[in-house]
Amino acid sequence: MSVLRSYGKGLQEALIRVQSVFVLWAVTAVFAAVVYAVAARVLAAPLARSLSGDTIMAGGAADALLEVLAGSGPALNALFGVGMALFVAYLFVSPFLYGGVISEVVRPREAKGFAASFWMGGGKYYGRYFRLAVASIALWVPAGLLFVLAGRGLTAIGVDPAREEIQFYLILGRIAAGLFLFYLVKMILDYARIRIAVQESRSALAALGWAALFVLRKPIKTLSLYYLLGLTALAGSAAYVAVQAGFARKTMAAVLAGLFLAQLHILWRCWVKVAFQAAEIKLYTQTAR
Amino acid sequence: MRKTVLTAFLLAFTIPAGSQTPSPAPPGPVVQYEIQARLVPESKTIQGRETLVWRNDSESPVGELRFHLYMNAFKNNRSTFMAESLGSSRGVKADKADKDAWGFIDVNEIGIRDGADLTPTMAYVQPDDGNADDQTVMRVTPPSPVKPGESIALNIAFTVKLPKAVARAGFGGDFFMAAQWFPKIGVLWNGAWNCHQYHAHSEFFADFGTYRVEITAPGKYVVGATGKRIGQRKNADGTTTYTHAQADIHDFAWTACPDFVESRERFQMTSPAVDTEMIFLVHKEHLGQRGRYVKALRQGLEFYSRHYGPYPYPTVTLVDPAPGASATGGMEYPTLFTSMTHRFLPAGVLMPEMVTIHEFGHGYWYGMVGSNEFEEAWLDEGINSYSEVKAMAEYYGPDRSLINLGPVRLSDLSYQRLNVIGGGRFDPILRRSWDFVGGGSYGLNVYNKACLMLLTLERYLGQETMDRVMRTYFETWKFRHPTSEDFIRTAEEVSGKDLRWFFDQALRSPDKLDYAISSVVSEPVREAEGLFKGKLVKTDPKAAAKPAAAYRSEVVAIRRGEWIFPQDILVVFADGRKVRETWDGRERWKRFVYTGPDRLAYAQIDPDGVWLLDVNWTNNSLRLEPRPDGSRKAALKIASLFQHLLTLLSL
Ligand SMILES: [Zn+2]
Repeated sequence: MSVLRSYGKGLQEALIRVQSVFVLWAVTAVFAAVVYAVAARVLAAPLARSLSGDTIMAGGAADALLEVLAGSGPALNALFGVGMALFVAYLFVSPFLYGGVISEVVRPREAKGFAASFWMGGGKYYGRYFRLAVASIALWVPAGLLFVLAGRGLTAIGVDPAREEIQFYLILGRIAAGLFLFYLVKMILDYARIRIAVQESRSALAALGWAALFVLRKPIKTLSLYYLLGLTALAGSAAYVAVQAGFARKTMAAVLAGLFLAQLHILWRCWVKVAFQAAEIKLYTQTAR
Repeated sequence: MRKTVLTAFLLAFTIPAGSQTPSPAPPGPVVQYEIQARLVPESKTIQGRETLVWRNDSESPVGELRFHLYMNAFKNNRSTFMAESLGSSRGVKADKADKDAWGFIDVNEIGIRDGADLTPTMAYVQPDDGNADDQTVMRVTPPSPVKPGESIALNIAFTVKLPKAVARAGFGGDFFMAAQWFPKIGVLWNGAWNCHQYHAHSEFFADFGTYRVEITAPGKYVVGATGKRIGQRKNADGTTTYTHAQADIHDFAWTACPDFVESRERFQMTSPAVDTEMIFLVHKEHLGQRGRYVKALRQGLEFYSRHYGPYPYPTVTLVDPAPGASATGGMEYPTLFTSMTHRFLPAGVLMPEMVTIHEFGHGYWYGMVGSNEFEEAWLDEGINSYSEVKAMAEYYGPDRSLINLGPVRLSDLSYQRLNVIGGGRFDPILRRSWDFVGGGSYGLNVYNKACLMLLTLERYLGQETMDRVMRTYFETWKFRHPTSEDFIRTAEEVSGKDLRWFFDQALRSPDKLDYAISSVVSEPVREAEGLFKGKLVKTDPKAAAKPAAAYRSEVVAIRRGEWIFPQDILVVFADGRKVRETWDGRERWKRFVYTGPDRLAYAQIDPDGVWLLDVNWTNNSLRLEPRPDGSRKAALKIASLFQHLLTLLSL
């Protein structure tokens, strides 16, 4: 019961906290804009005055674009480098965003406005959340080991390589296990952050330990809430994939319409992210006593 | 003792390739094999007895005989094959800790029928690299030379230990693929033995002849083999013996597995006349994929028969290797080939179709046109990749012939081109297989680049002429051993064109073809200004404000690569006027100048896309005014992907 209530509350909260959703979206948009600027420069050099540009515009994109990419190795490396640097930078920004979103969700309605709580919260918890991210190695390493050992174990049992069906499901099983472990660690980190914000606890490591125990004590509740939210996110993405598949981008107007659609999808994802935090906070306050 | 044998009785057992076969040379085939092979699954071994009648087809007496013992490539890590491939080949690593993983062939006895025992004269030789540890070529010395035109009949007893599936042959579970498995005599070519060692990146070469092979395996095994089955008998010990025979072939392979599901279908067509039996040995795990094999093989038979010549053999056998033995997949033998698939492979990934058409196609380029794969691998792999690309485009669509998954599409042709564009330029296409810098360069050149070279030639000569070239080449050289020179001569004779320049570059040089338009300018022709005969002439400001009456336009075409190919250049003006220029492409650049009423819009070199070998098509055209929509669209796609990735992996 508490799971469904938390889920409903989370979605509801995310609808109220639209500013948080927009901030999350805006940050990804800024990062993506940098990638766009670099990519547009890199690609304009060979393409802007070539008829190949028209081919790409006309929709024969895959082959024409691959031709260009195959022929512009150094430029591509530069683009890839920029992408990696931005991604690392984003990992540093991420603790701040968590602090903002969580502070904003726990803010009483009558308290001071969004800006103050989001930005102050982000700053206030940044140090602890960053330390938490470092401390999380204590979870990532065992999770990784578990994954590798499970794989080794299966290999050791030795399934006949000619049983292709079983082999295939084993591979699927390994992927599923990997994803499960990845998201399990992410979920524990969510509760650790909430613990730090709600209890005003100083120690990141203690919060991490507590969160791991919390998930261990209430696996059904925490996991079912997490997967309910996950399915919600997937539903939106599936709708996006379906809509954009039937969308020919042969004019600049159509390309921009496609861009708009993509941004709606990103907004959806950001909204679900806020809902994740809000719902988990609800579950925490209801059950963690 | 030597015996001029033959052969009427032997020929009675063998199945001629068909009515289209040219009458064989009067003295009969160079080789005639009769082999009895017994598979012992528990020990992964084959016990073999072979009778070989070999005729000296040369002008001089032959004092020694050379044999391929290919299986010894897998004996240990000192063999030339293993040393060159660092123990891995075709994606499979030999498991060194496992004794069962290694393979070898022992010749227990060799002697002249009713004559001298040659076993004591056996010696391993290494004609290619002198690697004393390599045992893939054996020499025996008869007491007296084999005279020109005479034949020698040999009895050979041998044991094969099959390796764990590696490089085309071996076992996986209870699946067995016996390929390159028996003592096989080399080719006496141009007065010398052409009998190369087994290399990491080489295939094979052998004389045409007749084969009659008896294969004995435990009763539960389903057996498939080269040629037509002419007999089958159950033995008292629970085994079954299958007898296969075929003429006009140069190798023999077979397979056995209890999990094969065998099915047979007739293939018939009238123009040209073909009537053959398709035999499918599909592993039970892959039964859901059988329909794809059947369809692709029908397409292959139809395409190659129509374009090159009717398929002449009475059978063609498709072998679907067991899962886990994929190293044996995608390989050709006379009238039998291995394809590959996966139980859950989506229909939009056209790998089984492509592999089936390709390996069947080798029945022509390798099977019938028996070029030397050791020394000129492009003659089978390149020509066959060319045929495969055309067949795949015809049956599966020119823009989606390899991958057809909704919006994600890739054509076989694009795949070949992307390899060439992105690949290194270290080797020419024509080079001995083991002289390439590595396996990647071997594949890039003999498959991808040679395929593009022929597609380029087709665009240059025209479809109809190229079809005649290929048909003539097949018709002239089937059941013979052509070389690159023979192909070039055929192409020149049929097309009536000098193609020396083309092949000298495309075939023999590692360099690249890349022409480009490097600049276009178009400026108004200004009124006269300056000093003329001591008088200052100035422009009337009113006249300068008016649109120009004429423009002076310049196009500069450049050669960025080393290869020199003649070029067409299309120059298009803003009013739609088109001018076509030609350039012999010799200098590093060429300028074209125009004066006319309109600005230039763009210039394009090779506007008809003839030179598929040109490694950069993006620089083939240049607009006067930029039109960045295409690059912006692509950049937006990349940025959007990045944004999605951010939201996927972190908050
Ligand atoms: Zn091939």
